[in-house]
Amino acid sequence: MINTGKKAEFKQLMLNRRNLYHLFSRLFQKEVDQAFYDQLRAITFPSHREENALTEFKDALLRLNEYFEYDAGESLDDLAADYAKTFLGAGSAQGAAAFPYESVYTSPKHVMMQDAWNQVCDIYESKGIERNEESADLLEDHIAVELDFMAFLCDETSRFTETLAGLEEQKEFLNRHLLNWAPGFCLDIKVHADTEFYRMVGQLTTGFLQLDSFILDQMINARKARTMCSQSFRMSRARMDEILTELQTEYRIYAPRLIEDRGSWEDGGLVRYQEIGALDDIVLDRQSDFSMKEVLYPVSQTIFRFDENSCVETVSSDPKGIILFARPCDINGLKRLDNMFLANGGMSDVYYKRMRDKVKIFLMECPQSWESCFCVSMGTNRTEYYSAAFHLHGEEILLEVKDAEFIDYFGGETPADYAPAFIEENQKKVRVPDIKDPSRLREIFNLEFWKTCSEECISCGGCNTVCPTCSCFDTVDFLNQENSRKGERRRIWSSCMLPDFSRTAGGNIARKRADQMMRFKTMHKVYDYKARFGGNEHMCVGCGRCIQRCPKEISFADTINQLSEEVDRLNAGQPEQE
Amino acid sequence: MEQNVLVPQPHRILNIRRHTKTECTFRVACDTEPGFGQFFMLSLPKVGEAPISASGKGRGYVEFTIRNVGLLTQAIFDLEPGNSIFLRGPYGNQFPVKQFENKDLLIICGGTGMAPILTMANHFYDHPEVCKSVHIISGFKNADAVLFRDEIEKFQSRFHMITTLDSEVVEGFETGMVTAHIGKVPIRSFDDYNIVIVGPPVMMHFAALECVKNGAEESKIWVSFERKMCCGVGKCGHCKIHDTYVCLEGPVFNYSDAKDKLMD
Repeated sequence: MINTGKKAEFKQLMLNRRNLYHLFSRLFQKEVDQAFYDQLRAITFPSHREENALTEFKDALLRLNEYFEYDAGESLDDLAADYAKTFLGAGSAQGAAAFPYESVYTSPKHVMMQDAWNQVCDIYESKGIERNEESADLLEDHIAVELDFMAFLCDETSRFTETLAGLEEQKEFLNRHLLNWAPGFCLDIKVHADTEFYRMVGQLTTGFLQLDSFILDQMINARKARTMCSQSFRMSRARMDEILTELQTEYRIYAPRLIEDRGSWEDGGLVRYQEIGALDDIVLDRQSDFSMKEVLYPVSQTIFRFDENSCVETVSSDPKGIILFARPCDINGLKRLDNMFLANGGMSDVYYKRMRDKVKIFLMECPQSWESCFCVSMGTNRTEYYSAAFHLHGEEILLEVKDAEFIDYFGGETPADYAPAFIEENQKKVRVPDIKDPSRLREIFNLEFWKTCSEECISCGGCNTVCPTCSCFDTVDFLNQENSRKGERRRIWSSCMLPDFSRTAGGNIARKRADQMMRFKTMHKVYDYKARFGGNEHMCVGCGRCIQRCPKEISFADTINQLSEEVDRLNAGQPEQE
Repeated sequence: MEQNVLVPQPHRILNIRRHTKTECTFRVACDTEPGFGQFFMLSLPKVGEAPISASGKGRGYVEFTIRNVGLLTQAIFDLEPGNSIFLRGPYGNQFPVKQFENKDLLIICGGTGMAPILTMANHFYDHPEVCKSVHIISGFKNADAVLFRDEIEKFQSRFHMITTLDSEVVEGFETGMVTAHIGKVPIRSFDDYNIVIVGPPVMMHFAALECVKNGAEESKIWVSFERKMCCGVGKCGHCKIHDTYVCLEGPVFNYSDAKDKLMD
């Protein structure tokens, strides 16, 4: 059975608020008809909740319940006439009214379509909202439209995984806009309205908005407080599986998984990142052959579809978030990918960002340092960047939760004293070359060493494929069918170890030979990246997958160490050894 | 929605001008004006995409001079005026034309390397008062390979123009590689000057060495790189050289920075 935890409760609260905002929006959108009147009457408004006492909402609710209990003798026609008088200034009002537009209440001259109207138009546009037909004749800062927008935001927050950001967005709009003018407007309703119904609507609206602001504050503060300190828990594997099932209503969960009939090694199968359903799907006793990068940055990805006359960007409609069970080296690798795809050139890559924004990291504690690991040398054995950290390889699951989003799922488990342990020593140790000065690069470039270290290389590009930080791609056009006019452009992982990587159409190849390509790759991983992006981190994260993958058993760790020795010799002014 | 720069837009071909058997200039309707030396990503759905320098610009159009060497260029050569070509851009940096003002300028180009310098040369032709003097050495394989004959003739009236064929002796042309003619330009007597070199990597390498031999300072030489690119915006990784991305920091580089890059 699926445990309906706090997450489901939160979601329901958002949907309830959405419905209330819809209801209030409808009150102002047009006159009350029979169907809506019946609907209002059927609702039992709760007047007993404690926080209601804080606002005039409670008083309004009592009046509302009384109104429907003891027929006030106001017909639908009476209400329609009063609607026209109060909000449109019709009939006996002679033009005086409670005009339901924000800019009337906030502009110096009390007229329509001023700053506030511009502001809300921009906000709706930034959300990609198209006005529906029912409200299309109302200006964007009409109270019904603003209330409707709050309903939209509530709905969005109920569906998205970034709840804190969603709540803050709601609070911002509520405080900056609705609460900035609606209370004054509601007081005016009391002045202009003849019916008890609309006088009550005025009081009720103010009360509701104030109460909702209070509830939002409480939720935001609670979430922020949780973000400040992490919490640790323990649980059985069975319980963990239940929570994984619950998480899957909101997230796709990816982890290393065994693909049995693939792979070239005798130990059988290939371990790659794929969606998992339960704990037993996760491969824990060996390193994944591929890194997790393929989840965010697929091997082949359609970037747009085309026919002969136009190109249309592909869009992702999957509302689910992504949870990645990842090792520290790969989490550090993600920062390198972020630099390329989000920062390089001062522009972020749409396709990468789309996936990246959804990603939450579940750190998997490493049970051991594997044969080719050299993360400690690269400083990538540790990380702080995770939503939750797990000790998965035991009878009992231990975890630390840092991200408030996940307290909703794990918060009910038995408290524990746990923080993830990191690998502190690898068998393999690597020393990065000490290149003190870019003027040294020419000498390094001309080293004979590059030829010796790449003698065995067959330029297959396998090392690039399994690397968590290699990000280069080619673009290739595909047709839906042979002779079809329609097709798509995809981007596909590329490899700097292939001669075609640097081939221009004219036939010029910047790097033809294995030694040139090996030099290009090596220098990128342990010098160029850091020279470009600064900081203390090299591109290589020492996961050692390229060493495992190489069909000629070339060790990239050895290559880096040998290069360091060569650079030492250059630094000492000694000639290269034959 | 965030703007997606990787999606190209269709632009109409206005006319096609043939230079040689394998080289044509395509004039394409376009309101975006490229800077001197910038490039666009040109593509045809179904075939592919490649970076191409703008060789001309004017009100409402951009020109591309294309050599038919691959699948994409072959497909572009099959097009006619009225057909669409897909563009995005312009990308990259520009020749530092402001720095060239009131100084002598030497442009050395080989083959299609003339295309990226053409908008700049035309600018100085239209504004002869801007530079103290303009020298152009333009080299081609043979007489059949000569591009931009109209422009060359035009430039002869205002610039010091040397057009040379690698090994062929033909009237109206000099003979020999561009490097053989650099000594004719009085670089040593220039007060202040700039040198622009555009062509195949080997040609740029030797032309720059020859300029230095003739008294030029490395920091006064500018080169333009050609690299395979699949994005033009610093993501695909193909044009990376050391810690530099040609599409972002190039294609124009000062030779003092670029000389080590020419080796890769």
